[in-house]
Amino acid sequence: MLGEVIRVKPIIELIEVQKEYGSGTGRIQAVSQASFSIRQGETFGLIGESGSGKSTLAKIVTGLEHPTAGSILYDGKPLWTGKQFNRIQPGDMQIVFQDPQSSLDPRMRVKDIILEPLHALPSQARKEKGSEERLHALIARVGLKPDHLSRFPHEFSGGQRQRIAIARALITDPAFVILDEPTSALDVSVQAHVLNLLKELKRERKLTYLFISHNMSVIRYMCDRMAVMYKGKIVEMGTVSDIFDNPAQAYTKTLLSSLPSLHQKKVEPHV
Amino acid sequence: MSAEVHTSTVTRTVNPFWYTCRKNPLMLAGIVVLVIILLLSLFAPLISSYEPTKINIKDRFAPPSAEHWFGTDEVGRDIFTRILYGARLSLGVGVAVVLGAGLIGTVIGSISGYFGGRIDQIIMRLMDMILAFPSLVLAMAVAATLGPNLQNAMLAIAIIKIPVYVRLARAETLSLREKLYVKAAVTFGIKPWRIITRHIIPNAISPVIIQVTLDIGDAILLVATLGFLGLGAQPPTPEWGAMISVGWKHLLDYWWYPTFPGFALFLASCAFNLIGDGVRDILDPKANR
Repeated sequence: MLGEVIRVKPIIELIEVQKEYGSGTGRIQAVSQASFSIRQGETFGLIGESGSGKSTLAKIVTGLEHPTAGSILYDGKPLWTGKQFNRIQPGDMQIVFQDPQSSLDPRMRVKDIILEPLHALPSQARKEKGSEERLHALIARVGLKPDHLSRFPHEFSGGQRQRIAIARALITDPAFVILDEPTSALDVSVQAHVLNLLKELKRERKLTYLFISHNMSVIRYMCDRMAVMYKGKIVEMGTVSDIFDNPAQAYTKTLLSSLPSLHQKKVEPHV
Repeated sequence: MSAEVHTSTVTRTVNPFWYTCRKNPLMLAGIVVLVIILLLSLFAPLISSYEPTKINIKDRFAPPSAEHWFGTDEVGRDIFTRILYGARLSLGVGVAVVLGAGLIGTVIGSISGYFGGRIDQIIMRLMDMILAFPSLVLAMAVAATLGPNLQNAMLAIAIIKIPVYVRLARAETLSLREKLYVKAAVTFGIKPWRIITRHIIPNAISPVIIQVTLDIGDAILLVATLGFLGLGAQPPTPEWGAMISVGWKHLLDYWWYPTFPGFALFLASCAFNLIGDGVRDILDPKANR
């Protein structure tokens, strides 16, 4: 409720988005009636168990799957008209996938991987953004070395690969980045590093994140506002502190109870 | 079995090429034979003092001797020389045709698999039509329709070879299309053509390479077959199939005439098949384990 008071221009707005798979009696509602908006500069968390439809939403927003109903406005303009995806500004919206093992082409060198999104841009912008200095500054920022550029993805650890994927997402100077479980394939120790990097990058580059996760503590660490998804529906939405302090829905409570003692300690004084 | 595995882990670090050859002596034999044929044909003018098309009626049907190692033919041309020059043609044509068919087939197949839908249906039904014919009959029909010469024979062989590559590349593309790095490229807004050339084809190429090496031997035989039937290279071009075609009529009187070109053909296609098998074992370890 607190969030409603501050009215900032939403960067992306989902209005009653729906996604159905199959036809006839074998119909599955992957997402139904999902509505939320993400404001400029915030990190919006989307949490839910596997199969709750959160990744389907990410696919719809990035143009991999079309919604069967509802509309999505990016910067006030509709992203989908029917089955047609409108790429309003190429490179303005980027995604970091869950599994850096499979999201990097094994036959491409790191330099080509990072520069790849630039090929969707007009040639003028491609030359500007693909300059050597920019590339080197970017890889240094995400924690890679210049001699990594000529290597292949299989020569890197999981955390390093995810840094490559982050650099690839940032090369086009996006305003909005979708993080689809960016740390769930990584070791716990590496997770913290990557999350901190994402936080710092957000501050430095004034990014807006849609952060998808099934991990409550990660969401709590990263996000300003959040929505809880269950069986394709958004069951609860609000600021992170609101939801963590007094969850309204039974499902949210179940999710919170999965958190180890760290959360418990914080809540107990209130009780 | 376990002992073999043990030694293999030790020797692998030494040198991949020799390790492969030691494990697959047949492939090594194929490579040796091929290298010998290649060297002989490249240095043919240095090895033989005769010219492949120079007629010398005086010496017609000379049996193998010190001057004419494989004897001479009905107009006195040195058969050994003609085989050396013929090797350039047979190997060159065989390799060129299969590489061409492989390239075109891979591009068509990846387009078909990537876009799916109607394009896929049209392309694959066309390929089924080509595959429905016995390959030699179709090659003969194409070569005969276009006119008997070497270019048309090459074209005919390329046409009958393409469907195999289309199917291979399409099958690979169907699985690659679902890979996350391809989806990632789609979300970046990369154009389909760039995705096909940068992601799909480089990742789909190993089964194509295997098929190419296996097909070269077959293509060399097909070139010779069309030449033998009079639909390929025309005399006086020194082409193995055409030489056998003329020579087999003289087999009983002058045995060396068809025998040596036939033996050369056998050696060349055999060498390519052995190499092809070896390459498959290297690139596709699942097949033999």
